[in-house]
Amino acid sequence: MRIQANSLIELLAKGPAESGLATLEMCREMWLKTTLPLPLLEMLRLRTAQLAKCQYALHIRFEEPVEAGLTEAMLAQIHEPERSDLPESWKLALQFAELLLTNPEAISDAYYEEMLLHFPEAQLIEMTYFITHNNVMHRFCVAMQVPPTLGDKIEWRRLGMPVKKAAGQAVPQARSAQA
Amino acid sequence: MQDGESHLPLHEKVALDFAELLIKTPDEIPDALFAELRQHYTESEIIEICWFTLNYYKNHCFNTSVRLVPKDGENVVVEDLHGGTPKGGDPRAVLRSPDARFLA
Repeated sequence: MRIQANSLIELLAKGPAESGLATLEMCREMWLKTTLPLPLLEMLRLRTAQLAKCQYALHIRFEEPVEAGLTEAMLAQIHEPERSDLPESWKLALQFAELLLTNPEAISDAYYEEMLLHFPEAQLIEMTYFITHNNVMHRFCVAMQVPPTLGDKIEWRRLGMPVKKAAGQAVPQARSAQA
Repeated sequence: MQDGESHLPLHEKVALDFAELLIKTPDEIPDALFAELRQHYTESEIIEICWFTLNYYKNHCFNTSVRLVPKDGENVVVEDLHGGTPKGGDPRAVLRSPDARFLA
C-alpha cells in the first residue's frame, strides 16, 4: 500500500472526518436497501472493479448474491455482456455501467428509454448511484495500491441481509429481471 | 488547468495531475508523482484529495447520465456551501427542465 496501513479500514480511518469510512458504509447500506436483484448488483460491482482494475474488489465475493443464484459462469460473461446469455435487462445494465464510467455523454436517449423498459426510474437511479459510488471505492483502492486481503484467493464476505431465493432456480429469465 | 499554461503553485499542479490520473488511469499513477504529492501533503490530506476528487467524479457521471442541466443556463451559478440560494437562478429550475431525464 502506498500509505502504510494494515487494512483498508485502517487506511480509510487515516483520512479526515472519516469520509472514507462513510463512503464504505454507504456501499453496505445500498446493498441492504436495494430493490435490484442481488446477482445483478454483484455483477455491476465486479464489472466496475474490472473497469478500474481494482484487484482488491475483484478478489471479494459476497455470499448473498450467490445464494440468490449468481454463478461464476455468469460472472465470466460480464466483460462482454452483449455476447452473453444473461437476461436482456442485465446485459443492458452492464453495458450501462461501462458507458456511465467511460463515456456518460454517450448514453443516448434511445438507450435510456430501453433501460426504462426494464427498470423503473427509481431502480435506474439506484443503479446509477451504485455504479458510480462503487467506482469511487475501486479507484481509491487502485490509486493506493490496496492489495487483495488473501492474495490470489477469493475472500468471501457476508452482507447480512435476507436472501430471496427464487423457487428452483434464482436465475431469472430474459426480460424478467425487474425486481 | 491546460498543460503548459498553468501558473498555479507547484503543490496545486501536483494535486491536479494526481486527480486527473485518479479519474483516468488510477493504476498508472507513477511512484514519482505520489512521492511528489507526499512532499506537499500529509497522508490525511492525500486521502482527502482522493475522496474529494472521486466523489465529485461520481456526481459528475451521475449528473451527465441523467442529463442534469445547468441551473441558470449559460450563466455561472454562485452558491455558498451552507445551502444558500444561488444567485440569479431558481434552484428548482433544473428539475423542471425538459432536458432533464427525470422530471421532479
